[in-house]
Amino acid sequence: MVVVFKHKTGFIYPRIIRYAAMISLYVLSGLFFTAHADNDFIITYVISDDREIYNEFIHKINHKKYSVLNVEHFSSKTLETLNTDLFITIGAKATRKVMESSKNKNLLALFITKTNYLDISKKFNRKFSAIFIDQPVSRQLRLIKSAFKEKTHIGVAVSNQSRMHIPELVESGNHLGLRIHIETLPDPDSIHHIIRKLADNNDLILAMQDSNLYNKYTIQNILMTTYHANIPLIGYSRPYVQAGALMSVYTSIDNLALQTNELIKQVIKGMNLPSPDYCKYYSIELNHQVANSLAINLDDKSVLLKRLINLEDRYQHE
Amino acid sequence: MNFVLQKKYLIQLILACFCFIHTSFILASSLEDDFTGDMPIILSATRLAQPQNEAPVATTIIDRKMIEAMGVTEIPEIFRMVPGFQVAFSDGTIPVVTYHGLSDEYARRMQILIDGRSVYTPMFGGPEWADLPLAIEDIERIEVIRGPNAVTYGANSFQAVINIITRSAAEEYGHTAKFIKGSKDTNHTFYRYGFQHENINTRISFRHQDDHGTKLDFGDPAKKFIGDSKMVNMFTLRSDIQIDNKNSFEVHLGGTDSWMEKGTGDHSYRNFHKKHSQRHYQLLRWRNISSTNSETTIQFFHNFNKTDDTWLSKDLTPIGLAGKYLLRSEDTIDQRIDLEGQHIVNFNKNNRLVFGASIRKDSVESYPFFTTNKKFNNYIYRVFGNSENKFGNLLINTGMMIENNSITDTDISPRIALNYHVNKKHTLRTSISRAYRNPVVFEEFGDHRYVTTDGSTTNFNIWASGGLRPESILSKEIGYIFQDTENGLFLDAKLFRDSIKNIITFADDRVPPAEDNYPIDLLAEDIKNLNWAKVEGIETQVKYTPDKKNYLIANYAYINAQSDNVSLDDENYLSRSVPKHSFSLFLSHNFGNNFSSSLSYFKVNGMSYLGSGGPVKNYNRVDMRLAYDKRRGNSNIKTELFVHNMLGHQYYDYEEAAEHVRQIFVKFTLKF
Repeated sequence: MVVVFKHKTGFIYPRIIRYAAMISLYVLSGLFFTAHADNDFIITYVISDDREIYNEFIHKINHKKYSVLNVEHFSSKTLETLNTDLFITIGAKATRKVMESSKNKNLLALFITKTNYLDISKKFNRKFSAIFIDQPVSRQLRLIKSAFKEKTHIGVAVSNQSRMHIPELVESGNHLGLRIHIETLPDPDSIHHIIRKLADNNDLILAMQDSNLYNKYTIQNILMTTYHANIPLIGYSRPYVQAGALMSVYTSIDNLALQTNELIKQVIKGMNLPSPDYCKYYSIELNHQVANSLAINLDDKSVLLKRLINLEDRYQHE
Repeated sequence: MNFVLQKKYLIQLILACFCFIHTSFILASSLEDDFTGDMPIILSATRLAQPQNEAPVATTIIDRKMIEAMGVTEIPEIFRMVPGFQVAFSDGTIPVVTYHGLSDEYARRMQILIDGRSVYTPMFGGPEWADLPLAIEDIERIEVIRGPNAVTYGANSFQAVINIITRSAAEEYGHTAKFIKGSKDTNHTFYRYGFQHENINTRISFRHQDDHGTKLDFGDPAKKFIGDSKMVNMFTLRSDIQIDNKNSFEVHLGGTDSWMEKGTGDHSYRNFHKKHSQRHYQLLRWRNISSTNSETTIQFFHNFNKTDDTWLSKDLTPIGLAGKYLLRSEDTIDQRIDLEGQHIVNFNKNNRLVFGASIRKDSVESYPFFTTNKKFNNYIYRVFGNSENKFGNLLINTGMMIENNSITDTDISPRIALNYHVNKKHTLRTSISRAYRNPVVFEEFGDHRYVTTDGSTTNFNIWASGGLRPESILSKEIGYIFQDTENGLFLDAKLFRDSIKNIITFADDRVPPAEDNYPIDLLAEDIKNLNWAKVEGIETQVKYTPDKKNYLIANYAYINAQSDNVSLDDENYLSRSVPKHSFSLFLSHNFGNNFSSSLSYFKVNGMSYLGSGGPVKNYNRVDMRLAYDKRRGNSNIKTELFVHNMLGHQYYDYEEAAEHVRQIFVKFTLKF
C-alpha cells in the first residue's frame, strides 16, 4: 500500500511520522489477528480527523484486517490506487473526500447526519450506504411519550435545514396523540424569540439537529431560557443533554459498532450494503440534575428504554 | 490605595480579561460535532436551583414570572410573599426587610447576596435597599433560605438568607424600555440592551427612579411631615463569556448615584436635608466545568459605598440649647473586597461534596460615627464544606464553616439536615444548625457625638465599649414537603425553634467622659451582648399552578417570641418585634386575549420594630394588577395598571409618620 502525504510546510513532519506509525501499526495488527479469518477482505477506514472517539469506535469493530487514513493527510488520488474491499468513512468530511475520488467502491458512511448525507448524495448524484449518527425525530417523540403522560404540547423550532422533518413530526405526533407546535425561524437573530414563544405555549421543547438553531453560540440562551421558563428541553444528542437538556435518545458508539459489525459480516458473505438509514440500536441519556431542579420525576433509564422499545416495536408492526 | 486608582486598575483588569477571553474561543463547525464533540455544560450545579425537597432548610423561591405578576415597584415589596418575613417602610427611603422580626431600620440578622456577592454592609449591617445597584427588571429568581445557612452563604447568614440571582446576559437580547408613572409623583425609567458578540453575551441596564416620598399623601403636616423623596440613577452591566467548552467567565459591574431627602418638619436636629450616596461594585467570576461531576468557581468582588450627608441643624432651643446649632453629619465610606474559591465534586449519583475558602476585607471610614479619621478594617477568613449523601430515600446534608475575623476571632458553624423522601410526593425534613452574627464595625467601635458649632456643648450619643462577642443562633426545624408536579401542587410546612444568644443591643447605661456637658442626657448609649430570644412557631407555604393560566400562592406564619429584653413599661421589646400571625395570598390568572390579572392580599398582626420604630397595629392590604400584553413579530408591548392598597385602608408598618395610602401606577414595557 502506498500512502502519499501532501503537506505545505515542513513543520508537519513529526505528525507524518506519527500517522505513518499509527497506520502501520493498524495494518500489522490487523494482519496478525485475522490472517486466517475473513480471507483477504480489507476495510479502509477514512477518518475526518483524529479525535479519540473515532479510534475508540474502530477498536470495537471485530474485523481486524484494516487500514486507517486520516482525510487531512492524503490526496484524492491515493484512494484511487488503494486496494480495499470496503471503505468505511467516518464523518462527513471523509465521506465527501471518498466520494470525490472513488466512485465505484463499496462505501459505508458512518458518523454522518442525515442532513449531511442528503447534501453529499445530492452533490455527487449517487446513493451510498450509511448509518446516520442522529436519531429520527419520530423516535425522540416516542421517548417523550414514554417519559411523560401529561405533557402533550410539544414545541419545535425549524429552519430551512430541518424543515424536511416536518411531515415526520406531524405524522408521528398525530400517531402518539401529541400536539406539535412548529415555529419556523425567519432569520438567525430570531432564535431567542422563537424559543421564548415555544416555551410560553408548550409543555416541553424538542430540539432538532439544525446548526441554524442549535449551535455553540445559541446553546446558552436556549438552555437558560427554557430552564427558567420551567420547560424541559429534549435534546437530540448526548452532548446536548450533558450541556443541560433533559434527555435524548441517541446513537452510542456501542450501538453503532454493533450494527456496523453486523453489516460487515453480511458484506463479507457477499450481500450488498443496505440503504442509508438511522441506526437501529439506540440509547437514552438523562440529565438527573436538571430533572431534579425542575421537579420532574423521571423513571430510570432502563425502564424508559424498555418502554421506548415497546413503542418502537408497536410502531413497526402497525 | 485611593479609590480612583483602584477603579483604574479594575477597569484595566476587566478589559484585559475581555481581550484574552474573546480571542481564545474556538468554534467547531461540523454538524457531527454535535454528536461526537463536547459542548459547554450550561446548566451546571451552581446554575441550577436546588430542589426544594432536597434543601437542608425551608426555602422559598420567587421567580421572575411571579415578580412581574405581583406588580411591585420596589424590590423589598417582593418579600411580603415569603412566610415569616416582615416588610416595612421606615419612610420612603428606608425599606426594612426582616425575617422573624428582631430588627430596626437595619436588618442585621440576614445575609443578602446578589449573584454571590454579599451586599450586607460592614458599617451598619443589612443592605441599602433603596439605592441598591440592582434593577428589579434584571432579577431572574430569588431564593430565600428561611433559616441559618452559613455553610453555603457565609458569615451573617443568621436567621435567613436572601439569594438574588440576576438574569444571564445570554437571555436578554435586544432593547427593553419600561416606564412607570403614578402616585407619589413616581417616575421610573428603565432601559436595557442585550447583545451577543460571538462568545460574549452582554446586557447593559440603566434605571432612573424618582418620587416625592410619602409626605404629600396625608393631611397633617405638623405631625407627619417627613422628608423622604428620592432620586436614584443606576447602571449595571453583565457579560457572560464562554471561553471554551469547559471555561466560562462573568463580569458584573454596576453602580448607583442617589439623592434622598431626609429629616422631619418638626425636628430640631433631624431637620430637612439631602443625602447623596454613591455605590458601585465589580465582580469577576471564572468557572471551570471539567465534567458534569466537577466544577470549580473562583470569584472576586469589590463593593464601594459612599454617603455624603452633612447639614446644619435648626436652632436647638427645643432641646434646651438656646441659640446653638449642630453641624450634623452621617458621612460614611465603606468597602468590601472578597476572593472566594469553591469546588463541587459529584462522586456519584448519591454523593456530592462542596468545599471552598474565602478571604474578605471590610473597611469603614466615618468621622461622624467613630469620631476619628481612622479606617477600620475587618479581615475575615473562611473555609467551608458541605456534603450531600443519599442512602436510598434518605438524604443527609452535613456541613461546617470555620470563620476567623478581626473582631470576634474564630467561630465554627455546623449543620446537619436529614431529608427523607417517603415517596415521590412526600418528604420529611429535619435539621439543626448553629450560626453566628458578627458585630458590624459600628457596634464594636461606634463613637457618635453631638458637638455644637461653637464647640461649647458635647453630647456622647452612642459610645460603644467594644469587646463584643458574636450573636449565636441554634436553629432546629422539622419540615414536611408535599410535591405533586403532575397537578402543580406544592406545600411546605415547618415547625421551628430558634434560640438566639448574646443579642447585641443598645444599652443606655454608659457614663460618658467629662467632656460630655449636655445637661439632659446623663448617660451614653453603649452597645452590648445583653439579651437572649427564643423564636418558635410554624410556617407554611402553598403553591398551586394547575395550568399555565392560573397561579395561587398562600403563606401563613405563626411566630411566638420570648426574650429577657424588657422595657420600662414592661413591654417585652424583642418579643414584640415579631408579629404573631402573618398571612399572604397571591392569585394570578391569564384571561387569554392578551389580558392577565393578579391579586395580592397581606395581613400582619401588630408588632413593634426596634430602634426608631414604633408600635404597629394590625394591618391588611390588597394589591391588584391588570396587564395587557400585545406581541407583534419580535416586539412586545405591555401595559399594566397597579393599584397598591386598593381598599384604601390607611396604615403604617414601621412608624406612624410613614403612612400608606392607596397608590396607583401605570407601567409600559416595550421590547424589540
